[in-house]
Amino acid sequence: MARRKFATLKSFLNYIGVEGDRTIFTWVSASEGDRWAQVIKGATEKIKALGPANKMVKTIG
Amino acid sequence: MEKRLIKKDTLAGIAKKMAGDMMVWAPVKKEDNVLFETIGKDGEPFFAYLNSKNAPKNVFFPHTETLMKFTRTPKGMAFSSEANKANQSVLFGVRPCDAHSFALLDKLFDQEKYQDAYYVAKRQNTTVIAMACVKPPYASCFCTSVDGEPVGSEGADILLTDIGGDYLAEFITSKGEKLAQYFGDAKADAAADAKKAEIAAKAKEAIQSRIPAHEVKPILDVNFDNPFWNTIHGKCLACGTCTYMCPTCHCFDISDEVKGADGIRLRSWDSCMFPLFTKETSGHNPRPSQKERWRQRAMHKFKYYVDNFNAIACVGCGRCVMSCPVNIDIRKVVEDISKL
Amino acid sequence: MHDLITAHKNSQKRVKPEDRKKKVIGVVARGCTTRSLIIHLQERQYERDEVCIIGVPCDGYVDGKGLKVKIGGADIVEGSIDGGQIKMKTSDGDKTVALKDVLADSCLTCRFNNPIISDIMIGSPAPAMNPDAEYNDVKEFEAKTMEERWAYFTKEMEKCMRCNACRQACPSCYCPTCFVEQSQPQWVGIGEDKSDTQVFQFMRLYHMVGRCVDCGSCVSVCPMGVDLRKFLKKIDKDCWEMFGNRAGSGMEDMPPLGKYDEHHDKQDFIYNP
Ligand code: SF4
Ligand code: SF4
Ligand code: SF4
Ligand code: SF4
Ligand code: SF4
Repeated sequence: MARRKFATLKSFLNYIGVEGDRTIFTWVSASEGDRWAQVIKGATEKIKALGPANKMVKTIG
Repeated sequence: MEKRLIKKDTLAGIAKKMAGDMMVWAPVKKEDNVLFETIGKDGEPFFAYLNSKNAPKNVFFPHTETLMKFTRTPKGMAFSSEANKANQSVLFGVRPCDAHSFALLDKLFDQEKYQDAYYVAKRQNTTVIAMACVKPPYASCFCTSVDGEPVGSEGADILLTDIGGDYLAEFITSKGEKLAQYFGDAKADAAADAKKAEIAAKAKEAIQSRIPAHEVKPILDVNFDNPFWNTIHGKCLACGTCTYMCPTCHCFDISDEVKGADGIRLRSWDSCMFPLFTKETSGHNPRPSQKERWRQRAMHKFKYYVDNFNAIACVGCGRCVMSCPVNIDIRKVVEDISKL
Repeated sequence: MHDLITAHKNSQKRVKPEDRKKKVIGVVARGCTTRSLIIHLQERQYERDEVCIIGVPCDGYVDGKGLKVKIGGADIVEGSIDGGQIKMKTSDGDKTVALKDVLADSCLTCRFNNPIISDIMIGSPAPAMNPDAEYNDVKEFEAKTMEERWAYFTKEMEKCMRCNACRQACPSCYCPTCFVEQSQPQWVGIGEDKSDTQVFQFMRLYHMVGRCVDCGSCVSVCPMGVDLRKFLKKIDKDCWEMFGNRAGSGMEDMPPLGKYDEHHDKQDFIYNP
C-alpha cells in the first residue's frame, strides 16, 4: 500500500537525519485541477524553504 | 645493508614527523577496528596492534578509483586520464604477510606484458615499512606455509623488528634507505643482528598453523571435476567478505558513471564469490553455483597463480578464516585437497 | 534460509505441473528463525507443507565481535561454555566472561525466543528475555537533533566496504536480482562513493519494513561492525506503532505493507495545502 510506504519512508528518512519534509505525499484526482496547482505550489515553496538537498546526493568527478 | 637502532617509544614520533613531509598510512584505531588510514602530523598511529582488520592493499589498489574523466563538449567528447597520479607516501607498519602480498600483486599489476599505470604509480611512490611479528598475532596465522615468515621482509623497503628495548631498522631497498634520515643515527651492531636472528627463529617456531600449500598444485591440476568440490560451498553465503579482506585478491569491475555532461570511469573491487561476477549479458552464467565459485577461489590461489607467476596467491594472514561469517576455513580446504 | 527458497524453486523448475513433487525440508528453528519462515510463507516462497519445523527454544547467541572487544581484542584460540560462563584460551592468556554480558543485542531484548510455529518442539520453553527494553536505543536516537542523527548515519556508513555480507545473510533479502545489481536502470553506483553506500544501505534497510525479524544476522556477519540495528529497530518500531505489526509474529498477521486500515492508520503524513 503506497500510503503505508510513504508514512514509513518519511519517518525513516527523518530518523537518519534527512528532513522528512522533503517527502511529500498526497492524493489528487485527475479532475481536481485547482487542487493540483495548489499542491505543486505548496510543495515547491516547502522545498525551496529547505534549500537544495545535500544529503545522499551524488557528485561526480 | 644499512641498519639502525631506534628507541621503542620514538616510533610514533617518526611516523608523525614523516607525515609532516609526505603522505603517511599507518594503523589507526577506529572504534573496534584497526585500519590503515592516512595520518597527519598530529595523527595517532596505533602500533600496539595485532593486524589491521582489512588488508592494506587499498593503498595501491583502492576499493574504488577513477581511471579517467570525460566531458561532453560541443566539439565531441573530451577525455582526461587519471593514470600515473600518486603522492609521495609511506605505508608505515604493515605486517610481513601484507608486505609479501605486495610482492605478489606486483607480479600481476607490474609485469612484462602489462603494467597497470594506476597501481604502479602508487607502488613506486610508496615506501613500505614492515613491522615484524615477534609474536605471531593470531592462532590462524599460517604465513610460513606459503613462503612467508613472521619476521620476513619480502615486499618491504624497511623492516622493523622489536628486539627488546629497541627496534632494529633494516633498510632493505634503496627506496627504504632514502628515509634513513628519519631513524636517528644509532648504527646497529652484530649483537642486534644476532638478537634478531634468534627472535626470527622463535617467531617462526611459534606459528602452529601449517598447511600443505605447495603439495596441492599437482592435485589441483587433475581434479577440476572431482566431486570434492561439492563439499565446500554448502554454507557459503556468497558474501565476498573473504575477497574484500584478502590482501592478494585483486579482481575488479569497471563501470561508467555519468551526470549531465560529465562522467567518470571507475574501477572497483569485485569478487569471484559474487554470482554476478561471471554472469554474461545473455543471462548465462558459466559459474552457475557457489560450487564453481569456490573452486575458482581455491584454484586461483593455489593453481592458476602458480601456473602464471610461479607463486601461491595467499600469504597466510588468516583474515578470511577469521572474517568468514560461516567459518569456512581455507586451511581446511587445502588440507582436504591434499588428501584427494 | 535462502536454501529453502532455492530448493523450492529448483524443485519446480522445468517440471510439468502434474509431475511437481514437493520435497519436505527439515529446519531446526529458534524463535527468530520461525519469524523468517512466517515471512517466507506469507510472501509465498514455499508452502507450509514443504517445511518440517523443528522448534528449539533459544537463550540467545553470543555476539562474536562484542566478545572480542570485551577481551581487549585478543585472539581466541579455544573456548567452551560452562554454566553461564565462557572460558577461553586467548593470545593474551586465559579469560572468562559471563555469557549474559556478551549476548547479541537482538537476543537481549528478544520478544520471540520461543518458536512461534513448529511441527516438533524440542526442550522446554526458554525464559523470557527483556523485550520491554527493545526500543530504548531507538528512543534515545530519536531524541537527538537532525544533524546529530545524520552525522551518526554517515559515520556508520563510512565503515561499510560494500561486501554485501549483510544482504547475503539476511533471510528477508532473497530477491533474485537485488536493486543494487540492476543495471537498467542503475539505481546505485557500485563504488565506494559515500552517497552510493548511503543509498544502498538506506534502500536495503527500508526494504525491511514489516520484514526484519531482528535475527541479528546482518549485524553479526558485518566484518566492519556497522551499527545496522540502530536503523532496523526504528523500522520495527514504526511498524508496531503505526500498524500494530511485528514482522513474522504470526501466520495470520499479514505483511503490513500489503494492507491498509481505514480506521486506525494515521493520516498526518499526507500533505494538504
Ligand atoms: S586467502 Fe585468506 S589467509 Fe590467504 S591471504 Fe587471503 S585472506 Fe589471507
Ligand atoms: S578470482 Fe577470486 S580469488 Fe582470485 S583474485 Fe579474484 S576475487 Fe580473489
Ligand atoms: S566469507 Fe565465507 S561465506 Fe562469505 S563468500 Fe567467503 S567463504 Fe563464502
Ligand atoms: S536483523 Fe538483519 S538479517 Fe535479520 S531480518 Fe533484520 S535485516 Fe535481515
Ligand atoms: S556486511 Fe557490513 S561492510 Fe558488508 S556491505 Fe553490509 S554493512 Fe557494509
